[in-house]
Amino acid sequence: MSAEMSVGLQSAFAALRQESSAPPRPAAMAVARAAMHQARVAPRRAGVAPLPLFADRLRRAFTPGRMTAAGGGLATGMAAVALLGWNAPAGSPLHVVRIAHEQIALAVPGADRIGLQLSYAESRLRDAVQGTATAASLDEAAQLLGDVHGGLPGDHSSALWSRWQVDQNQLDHLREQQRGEDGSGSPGGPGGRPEGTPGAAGAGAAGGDDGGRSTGAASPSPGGGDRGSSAPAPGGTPHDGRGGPSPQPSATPGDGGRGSTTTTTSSTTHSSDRGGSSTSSTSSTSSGSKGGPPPGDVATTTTTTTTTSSTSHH
Amino acid sequence: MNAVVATAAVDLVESALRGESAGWDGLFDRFYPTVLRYATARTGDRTAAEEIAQEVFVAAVGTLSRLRERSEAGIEGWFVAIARFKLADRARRRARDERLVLRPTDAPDAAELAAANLAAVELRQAMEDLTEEQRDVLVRRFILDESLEQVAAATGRRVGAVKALQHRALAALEKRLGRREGWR
Repeated sequence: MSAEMSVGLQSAFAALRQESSAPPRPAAMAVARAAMHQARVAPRRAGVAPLPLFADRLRRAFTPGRMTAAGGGLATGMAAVALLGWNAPAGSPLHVVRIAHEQIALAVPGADRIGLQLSYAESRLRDAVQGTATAASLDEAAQLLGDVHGGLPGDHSSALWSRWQVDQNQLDHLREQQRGEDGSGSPGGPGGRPEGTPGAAGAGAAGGDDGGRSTGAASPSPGGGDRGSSAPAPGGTPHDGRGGPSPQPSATPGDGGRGSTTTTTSSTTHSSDRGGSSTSSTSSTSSGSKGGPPPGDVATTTTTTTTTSSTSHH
Repeated sequence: MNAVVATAAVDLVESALRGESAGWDGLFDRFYPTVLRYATARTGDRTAAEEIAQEVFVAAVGTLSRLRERSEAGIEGWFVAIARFKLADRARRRARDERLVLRPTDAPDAAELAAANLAAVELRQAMEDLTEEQRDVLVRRFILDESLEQVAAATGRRVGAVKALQHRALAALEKRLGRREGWR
């Protein structure tokens, strides 16, 4: 003992020393020895320095098994969402999935955009026929058909034109049907036929798909056949099929017998896309004139109605 | 004799490093009593001391390769150092638990005092007010009977520093225990 300690402190240390010098208990030694040998067998567990608490929690939380399970669950969930949303009707929460995969298909280089968009429009029309989200489906169909119209080929006799025409007619028909069911329709809504298109006056009207004869009505009734376009735009020159006003009170279905449908409220001037040549006639009716402009060079002149709305012709 | 023992301890370490069970058993038999004594002196709880001793040898399995001082005293000091760290960990855990759960103070009750050596209990309580280094030096010096040189080697201090540390620790104990009636 140190000389600097008092007697009391010395005796206290002696007591503490005596208390601590009791021989080890064999049972405790056996347990400790077994634990030591077990640590030797699994040295990694014993040798790993204890991680900080937060890191340890993270390590436990992100075990490979849990990560695998989470990844599998995520993949399953995504697959389920994709499956459920693949053909989800317009207006449903998963409709975005349908939109997304359609957009992806359209973005693929070399994809037949017109054909695809027509297919999508037809699927919307089928949804509407089946009564699934009718209004929303029709709106989307109209939107798609409007988009398609801008990209249709100049040749009105092409199959795409025919297909578009059939779809457009079905859309108009369904619109009318819907208005009848609802009792309140909104003319000129999103389902409107693209302006300046043949047969804009009515669904199911005689179409020129099959090379049929068009009749250009010369009736001076106001209002364009194209919905929602009645404001006059004086001085317009027919060009590119846009239904510009024409002072001539005549209409010539110089369509060459292609793609025109009979209009009863107006007649429009079809002008050439490329040549810019326009013809006008005072004949009230006409059938596909062989002497008209060549296919694609179509001009229809409004007789009494001035229409400002226009849609390019191809 | 000492040289033989030191050589044997080194051999045990070498054997243990080769992964031989005999080496580990030899180290365990040689140093377990010392570690247990140190832990018992520090905790005053036999069961807790046995747990600490067990943790020391489990931890030694993963860290033996880092042992540099392979003399008898160095090996013993290394095991005791592990015990010291384990005690510190235990004290931290206990302090954290006590913050979470209100518990009565650890003052021994009358029955415990009657059964235990009163002086030893009082000394351990007084040592709680010392620093960790001071407690370590006192137990090494007066319970394990290590020399100043051994303590210095084991703790990485110079002998003079150990001596000064011991002096301040004893003075603090005298001051604290001297206030008690009938101590001297």
